[in-house]
Amino acid sequence: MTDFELDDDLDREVRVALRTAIDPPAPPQFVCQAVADLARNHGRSGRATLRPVTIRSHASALMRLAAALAIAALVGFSLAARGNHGPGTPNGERGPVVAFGSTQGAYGWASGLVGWYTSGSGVRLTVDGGVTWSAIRPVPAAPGVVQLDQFVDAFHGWTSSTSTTSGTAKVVVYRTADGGLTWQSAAVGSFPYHSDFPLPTSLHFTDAQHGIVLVDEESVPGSPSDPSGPTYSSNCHLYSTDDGGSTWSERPGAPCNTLVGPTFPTPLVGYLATLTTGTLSVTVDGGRTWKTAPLPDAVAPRQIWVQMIEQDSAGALHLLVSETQDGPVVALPIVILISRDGGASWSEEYRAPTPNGSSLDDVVRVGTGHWIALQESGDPASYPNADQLIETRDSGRTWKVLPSTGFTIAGAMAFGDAQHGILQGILATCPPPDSSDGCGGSGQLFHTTDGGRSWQPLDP
Amino acid sequence: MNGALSSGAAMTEMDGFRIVTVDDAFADLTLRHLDAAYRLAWAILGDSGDADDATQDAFALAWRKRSSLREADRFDAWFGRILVNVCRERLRSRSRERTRIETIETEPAAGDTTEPLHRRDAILRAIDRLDPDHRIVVILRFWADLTVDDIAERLAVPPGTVKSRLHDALRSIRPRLEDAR
Repeated sequence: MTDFELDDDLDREVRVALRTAIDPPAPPQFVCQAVADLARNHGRSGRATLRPVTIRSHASALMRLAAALAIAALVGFSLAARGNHGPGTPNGERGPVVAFGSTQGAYGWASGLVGWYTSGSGVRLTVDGGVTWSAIRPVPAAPGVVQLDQFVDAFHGWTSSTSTTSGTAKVVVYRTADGGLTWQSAAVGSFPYHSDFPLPTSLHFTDAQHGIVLVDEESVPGSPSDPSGPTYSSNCHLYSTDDGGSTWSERPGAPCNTLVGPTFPTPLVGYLATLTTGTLSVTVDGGRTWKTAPLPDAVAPRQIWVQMIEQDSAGALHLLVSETQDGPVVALPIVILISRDGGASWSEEYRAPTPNGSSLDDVVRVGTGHWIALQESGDPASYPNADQLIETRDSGRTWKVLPSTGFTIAGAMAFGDAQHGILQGILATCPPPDSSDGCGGSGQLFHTTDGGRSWQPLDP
Repeated sequence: MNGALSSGAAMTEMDGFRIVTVDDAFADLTLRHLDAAYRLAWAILGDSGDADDATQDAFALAWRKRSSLREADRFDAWFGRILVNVCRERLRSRSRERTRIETIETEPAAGDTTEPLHRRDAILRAIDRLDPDHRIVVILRFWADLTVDDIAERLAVPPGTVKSRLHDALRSIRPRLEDAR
């Protein structure tokens, strides 16, 4: 007996016809290889005929992608695939650039000359803008999953861990006050949780004493407006500390999101795209309090990424939103929204095409109104290392192209000031035309001491 | 000002000093589902070349969207939805030309009186003529043997929609079967 029957005989006859006529073979070896490459390289793989796929699989890009997915799901449109697309090849196809081999884990820039990155089992720090690096300092050997989160200076850093037993996930924050030589722990809380994946948490410190942890306890698939969309959260918790992470207190008003944590371009100002309602939550006090509002209709029904938020001296918030589209490069606008009430409402202030019409992939703040963005160059001659950095000093109104990096940018940029930054790149090459391999190379970290005009590889 | 880790998208698991990424678990999941995914793509698309591409596209898309998978035990439904969507787009893009070709190529030879084979071929021709949405529910229901609820989950439509598509599909198959008698 089936749970749907129009006509038992016809039902049965169709079933027999299909089962006798359709006998799929096993996947061919090259498909197995391609999928195995994807798995081995954590999604950073492809073959020449594979259509463009995202290789910016670092957390920041995923967060932006997820945020865009979240917003997309809300307003009822499908998100275009984000890809590290090369410019058009002669046949119009744009191939992916692939990171073969190892890629780096976490990295960031605390401020000024102080940066950090994970290496092997621990973390290395620099206090001279990346010229020299400390020996590896192991992160805490904690049960469960450890997420290396943040350093705010050369001494104070934090990791969070979640361990799950019998349907309960315990969140612990580890702190160091001596640059990772020693670590202390403090429990934040325990939560019901039933997943093989880590309990999603986001940690952010504004200085050595003040920080927050967002815990995303419960998630359900889909959203009210798009059941086929990504998972959204329905029960989040916000904790804060005033003593560097020794003690934590739950606060009301946790913005419940999405798939990802908030983005903080500055220590105090951050944003979080919220899946459940199609709104944007912003904070101007390091995450302790949040205001949530819908985006204006002018941008909401489009394929967008929220890229940057900044507060001017008068207190107004400026939000950079870029539109995105898969496929051929067309003129895509960037839109600047403004809020004069701390994020309770937004209006469109400025709209202009991106410098060469292609979408912005990553935008970081290096100073007031001074942002650096990643964009496809649109120059076929530069493929596969076809990314370019562009810079604005007037909060996104005008942009200029920085000198070519000479490599494909595969990881989020992190800047400590207008001069010093770090990112992950791929010195990509292409195989002979008759090869089935895609263009690619090994991922490695690069740093800049001149505001992104030149980049040098880090020696791990 | 962190460059990489600040959310659940990429984390590390400490086991002594060994760091295992969450992505490793996802990689394991994808590899375990490759064979079944390819066979289903082949069944829906009926073509090796398209199945090759659709399978890879689906896995690439799954990697891109992996942060939306929160519960590993829901991978089947989550990935199934991605795969079916990829196949549907591929069916839609090729439907016009394929219909024209198959209409010409698959008519039964005159004088062939092998009725069971006639009936089977008539069913297959009728299924080939279905639009992508109806073809997919027929394949998922009668070839993959999924329940209506499972199909609904994979297509992100209500179960009633699945039932009506099945009803419509079978209703369009029936007269072609009568013609084959």
